[in-house]
Parts: sequence; C-alpha cells; structure tokens
Amino acid sequence: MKPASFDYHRATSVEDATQLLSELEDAKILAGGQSLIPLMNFRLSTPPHLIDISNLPELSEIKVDDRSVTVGAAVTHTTLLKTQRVASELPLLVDAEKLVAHEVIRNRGTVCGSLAHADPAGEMTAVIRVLDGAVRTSSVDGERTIQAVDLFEGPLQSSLKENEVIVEAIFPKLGRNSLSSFREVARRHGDYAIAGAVSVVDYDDARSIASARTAFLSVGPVPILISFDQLLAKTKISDIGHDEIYEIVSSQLNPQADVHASADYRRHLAAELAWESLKACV
Amino acid sequence: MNEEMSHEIVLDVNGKVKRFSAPARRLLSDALRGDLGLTGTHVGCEHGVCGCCTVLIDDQPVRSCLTFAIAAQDRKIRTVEGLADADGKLHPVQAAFKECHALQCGFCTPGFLMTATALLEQRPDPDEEEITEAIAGNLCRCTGYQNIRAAIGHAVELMQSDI
Repeated sequence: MKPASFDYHRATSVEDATQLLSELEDAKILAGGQSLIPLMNFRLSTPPHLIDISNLPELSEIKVDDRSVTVGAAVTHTTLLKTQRVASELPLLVDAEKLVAHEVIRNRGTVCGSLAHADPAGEMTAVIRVLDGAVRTSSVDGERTIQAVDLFEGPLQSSLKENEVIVEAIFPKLGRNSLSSFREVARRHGDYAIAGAVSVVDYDDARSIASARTAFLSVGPVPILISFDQLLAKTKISDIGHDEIYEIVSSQLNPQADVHASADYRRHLAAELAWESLKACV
Repeated sequence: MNEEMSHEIVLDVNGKVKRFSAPARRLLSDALRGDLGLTGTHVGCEHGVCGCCTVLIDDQPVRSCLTFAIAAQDRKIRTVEGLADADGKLHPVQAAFKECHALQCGFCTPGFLMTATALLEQRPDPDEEEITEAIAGNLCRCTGYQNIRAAIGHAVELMQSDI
C-alpha cells in the first residue's frame, strides 16, 4: 500500500497556502495527516498536490479568552489535551480528547484536521456541535466563519469550499452554571466509538434545568444534536426519567448497521449513553 | 507517464544526518527501511492501526507509516536501532523485554519498544493504567499483552537501579 504520486508544497504562510490552494488543481491541505494519509495509502484519496501547513507558527496557537477556546489549525490533539488552561477553562475539551484515538495518533493528528475530515465518528465533531462552536476559514476570497451546524454535510463531507482552509476552530466556553459529560462505547479505548453521546446542561439560579442538549457520534451521517429543552424545562436533573430520555433519543436516531454493530444496538447504546451523560451533569 | 519528481530529503535519524532522494509520497516507514536500510522499524498494516512502525519524532511516538519522509525534515527521529548503546548494551526497555519474555515472533516488538521508551521518558514511574493506556495502540498477535506490561514495569526498575 503506497500513496499515489503527488507534488508536495510546504506553505510559508496562511496566505501562501490559500494562494496555492486556488492555483493548484484538486490540492489538499496536509496538517497531521492521520486521517488523510490512511485514505491515501488505500488510494481512496489521490490528491495531485498536498499543501503542508503543519509548520506554520501562526496556526500553532491556542487562545483562551472570556468567551471561547480558539485552536489553530496546526495544533495537535496532544497539545490541546496537555494545555493546562484548557483543562481549567473548558474541561469538556480534555474529556473529549482523552477519547480521540490513541496517544500515538494524537501526537500527529490535529483538532482542525479532524473537523475538516468531517467523520461523524470523530469526537471533536460532536463536541463542536454540542457547544455550538464554529471554524474560521481563509481563502483568496477572504475569511469567513462557518457554524458547526453548517459545517458537516455528510460522512467525510464538509461545507468547506475547494479553495478554503480552516485556520482555527472556536469552542465557546460553558457558563458557570453549566455542566458537561462525554460517554462513548468502543471495543478498545481509543478505537472508533460504536456510539457516543456528549451532553451539556445549563442550570438557572434555582438549580433547575434551563437548557439540556446532547450531540451524538457514530449514529448518523453527521454529528446529530438533540435538544431536551422542552421536556426538561424547570426540572431538577435528579427528577428526569430514564425512559423519557431513552424514548426521545431512540425515536430520533436512525443509525446504520455495519460489521461492528447492528442499527438497533447502536440506537440502544446511543439512548443509554445520552441518559448516562445527562445524569453525569449533576 | 511523466517521470516522478524526486526531492533531496535530509533526515536526522538517531543523531545522524542522512541524505537521500525520494519522491514526496515516500512514507517515513519506507524511507527508513528502503532508503536508509534501517529495517528495525517494521511495517504491518500501513494505515496506522497496528503500531509496528512506531518511531519517535521529537521524542513523541508517532506512526511512521502515517508520516511522509519529506514532512519529517527538521525533526529528530529515533528508531529502534538507536536504543542500544554503541557497544551493544541493551537499553533497559530492551533488556526488560528479553528478561520478561515480552516477545515471541518479534514483529510488533520495535513498535512496543519505541512506545514504551517514550512513555518512560515522559513518566518515569507509570502506574498500571498508564502502561496499559500507552500500549493500547499497539497490536501483538502472539505473545499477549501481560508479559509486555510486566516488561515495562520491570524496565522502570532497571532504569531506577541504573542511576
């Protein structure tokens, strides 16, 4: 298994990368390569040009401000996982990163790369969806922001235009009255999840639920978000019932069967994991 | 078909500068084995699942089959050939694998050795869970994992007694 031939271009700046993207036909961005290179080794992907952005210092930053954690396109999963400020300001990112593949893959793979790859089994796609985050992109036409809800169009299909590169991902921080939890089931820790659920619960001052939502991975063509706002408004989390959550989730998901799990088992897992992750937000 | 373009590639492998020419699509695993003759790094699945090809880049374990050689320039690469001393004295991780019977056919061993070496450099006294977590991305199909875990634990003792 060897990749097909391609021309390699090491970008010297974001501007250089976008210029190359617009000039070269069918060029692809290379960051960590942990999703792209397996596809190339199988020749499922045969881009004639790769533009390497992994060495750009301007894409290697993690910024934390009052509202969000912003992750540059060359930041690896390991770097995000080991950044102390991220752990204290948005621990959900660390909870999610611990589930992303194995450490050896996290050492190369990038956060933004997994978003651009748009694999619905990817933990970061579900996290950015449940947080209502966004990516900022750049192209020769200028910059734009794509909300997570608009980024994922299907399995491995994003709404990025051919001449666009993600420069950073924006993960909004949770308020002081919010809690989050990530649960997934995989055959081995680090393998692709058979199903997963990441929940965020916002409380009002009376410790009643103001808003509750769960994003799911591996149960649809894109990360799927289910809101429980109507069901749970003004309820105490200790009063929510397993059966209601199970019914809502299982009636709204239509996962596919594959060699790892039947559709029914996936749906069952997703419903139970939603329940577990919501109950963990106490 | 057009002649494929060749690049002059310079890699820092086990502290030595190596120059060769290869196309951009040359995987680091194939460069190490084919261009540089360092066949200690094994190639198994070639899509990042088995862990046989694990090498260290800037002291972090990575899959050399999921890295292009041309993109690994300016980094410090370490392979299993760099573990033992020049006089042949085994690295404590290698000695522990030998003593604990942590290899049988040996195909996966270079990947385990490099993964374990990186673990012990980052966390000199890992607990059982950290050891298990560290090697979760490496497949062994004959020895089984118990002896490998025991060997990494033993390597900790050897390294501590070495000082």
